[in-house]
Amino acid sequence: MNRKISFVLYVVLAVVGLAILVMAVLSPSVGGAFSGMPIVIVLFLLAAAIAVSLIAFNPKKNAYSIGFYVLHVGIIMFLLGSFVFTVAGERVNLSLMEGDKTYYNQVSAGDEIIDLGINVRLENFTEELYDDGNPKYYEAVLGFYDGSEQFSKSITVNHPLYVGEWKIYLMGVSESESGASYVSFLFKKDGAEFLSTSGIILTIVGTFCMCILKPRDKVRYDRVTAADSPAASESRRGSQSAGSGKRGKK
Amino acid sequence: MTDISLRIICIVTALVYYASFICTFFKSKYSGRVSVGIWIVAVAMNAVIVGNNWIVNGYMPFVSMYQVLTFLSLTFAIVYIYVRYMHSGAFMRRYFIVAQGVIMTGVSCMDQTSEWSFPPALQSAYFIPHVFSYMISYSLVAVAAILCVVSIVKERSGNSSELRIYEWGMYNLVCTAFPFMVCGMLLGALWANACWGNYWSWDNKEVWSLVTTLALCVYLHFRRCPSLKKYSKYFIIAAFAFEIITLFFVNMFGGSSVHSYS
Repeated sequence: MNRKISFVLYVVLAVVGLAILVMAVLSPSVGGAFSGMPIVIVLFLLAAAIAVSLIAFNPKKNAYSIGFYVLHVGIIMFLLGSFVFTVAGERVNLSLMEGDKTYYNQVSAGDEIIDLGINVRLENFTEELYDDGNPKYYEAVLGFYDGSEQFSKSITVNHPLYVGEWKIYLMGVSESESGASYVSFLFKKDGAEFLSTSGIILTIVGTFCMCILKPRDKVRYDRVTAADSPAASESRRGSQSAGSGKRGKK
Repeated sequence: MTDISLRIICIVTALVYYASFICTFFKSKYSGRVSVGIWIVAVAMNAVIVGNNWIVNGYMPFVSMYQVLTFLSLTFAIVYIYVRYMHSGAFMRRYFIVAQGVIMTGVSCMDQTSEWSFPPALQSAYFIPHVFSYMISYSLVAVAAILCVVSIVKERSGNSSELRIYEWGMYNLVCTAFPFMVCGMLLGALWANACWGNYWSWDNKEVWSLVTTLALCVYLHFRRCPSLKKYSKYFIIAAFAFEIITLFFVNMFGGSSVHSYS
C-alpha cells in the first residue's frame, strides 16, 4: 500500500515538475517559475514521497541500511527546511552609503516596508584591490542601536553576522552615477536554518555510508574479477590446452 | 615559468600520456611496465604544471578553467591509484590515461595565464573541498562513461564474463563518484548560504550539476530494479554528457552566473 502511495506521489511530483519546467520555458523570467508557491508544492511533495518510500523500503540491517536512512532523512530535513524558509523566511537587501552616519531601521522591499527591529548604520568600509583592479578583500563595520545601547560589529564576505533574529551578509560594493559608494547587505531571517544545514550534513554522511561502505558489492566484484578476469580466462585456457596436450600424447 | 614554456610542457605532457596509452595495447612482456613508466613521467610533468600554478598564485589552483583542468588531469592519477588497489581496477588504466591525454590536449589549446586574482567570495573554507570533490567525481564519471561505451561496443562480441567485469567496474566507479558529487554540490550549497544567504539560486551551473547528479541517481536506482537494469548504463553516458555541459558549455553560453570565474 505504501509503495502505491509513494508511486502516486512521484507521479504527481513529475506532473508538477513538468508544469514548472514548461512555465520556465514559456515565462520570460525563469527565476519566477523556480520560486514561490510552485517550488513549495514540489518540495512538500518530494519530501512526502521520500518519507513514504522510506517507510515502504525495508533494507537489511547493515552499514548500507544505516546510510540509506541517514541519507533520506537528511533529504527530507533539507526539503522541509527549504519549505519552511520559502513560506516563513525573510530576505531584505539594504544598501548603505559610505560616509552616511544616519541610522536606518526600515527597508522597502517591493511594495511593503519591512521593520528591521534595530537601527543600523555603516561606520566604516575597507576595500583592498589587486594590481589588476579586481577586489581582494572587503570588510565593513556596522553600528547598531537597539534603543538602549550602541554597539559595532565587523563583517566580511563569507562570514555573516548574527544580530537578533537577523543574519547579515556583506554582498559587495557598487558606485552610483554621482560617484558615491554604496555597500550592499542582505538581511535574512531563516527559522529553519539548523534543519536545512543538518539535513545537508546528514545527506552527505548517508551518501558516503551507502556508496563507500558496501562490502557486499565489493566482495561480489572481487569474485567476478577473480573468476572472470582476462588473466584468469587466459590461465584457464592455458590449463585446458595443457590438459588436452597431455591427452593428445596419450 | 612563461606562458609559452607552460604551453610547450602541456603539449608534451599530452603527447606522453598518449604514448603511455598506445603502449597499453602492445602484448609484449615489458609493454605494461613501459606504459606505467611513461605514465609516471607524464603525471610528474602534470604535477609540475599544477605546482607552478599553485606557487605563482599562492593558493590551490582552482580559479580559472586552465587551472581546474590541469588539476583534474592530475586527479585522474590519484583516483586510478585508489581504484587500482581498492577495486582491482588495473584493467581500467588505459581509460584513465586516455582521459588524461584528452584533458591535457584541451589545456594545451587554452590561455595559460597562471596568475589569477582570488575574489573575496572564493576565500572560503568550502572552496577547496567543493572543487576537489567535483574533480574526483568528474574523473570517475568520465572513466565510467568510457567503460560504458567500450562495453556497448563489446556487447556484439558476446563475451559475457568480460562484459560483467566492465559492468561491475562502471558500478564501482559510479559508487565512488556519486558521494563525492553529492558532497561537492551540498558543500557548494552550504558555501552559498554562508556567502550569499541562499542555499540554492537556480544558477545555470547549479541546475546542470543537479541534472548530472540526478542522472547518476537514476542509474543507481535503475540498477537495483531488475526490469530497468538494462537501461541503467545509458544514464552514465547521459551523466557524462551533462558533466561536459556543466563544466564547459554553461560558461561559454550560459550568460551571467555566480560561477562565471570557474
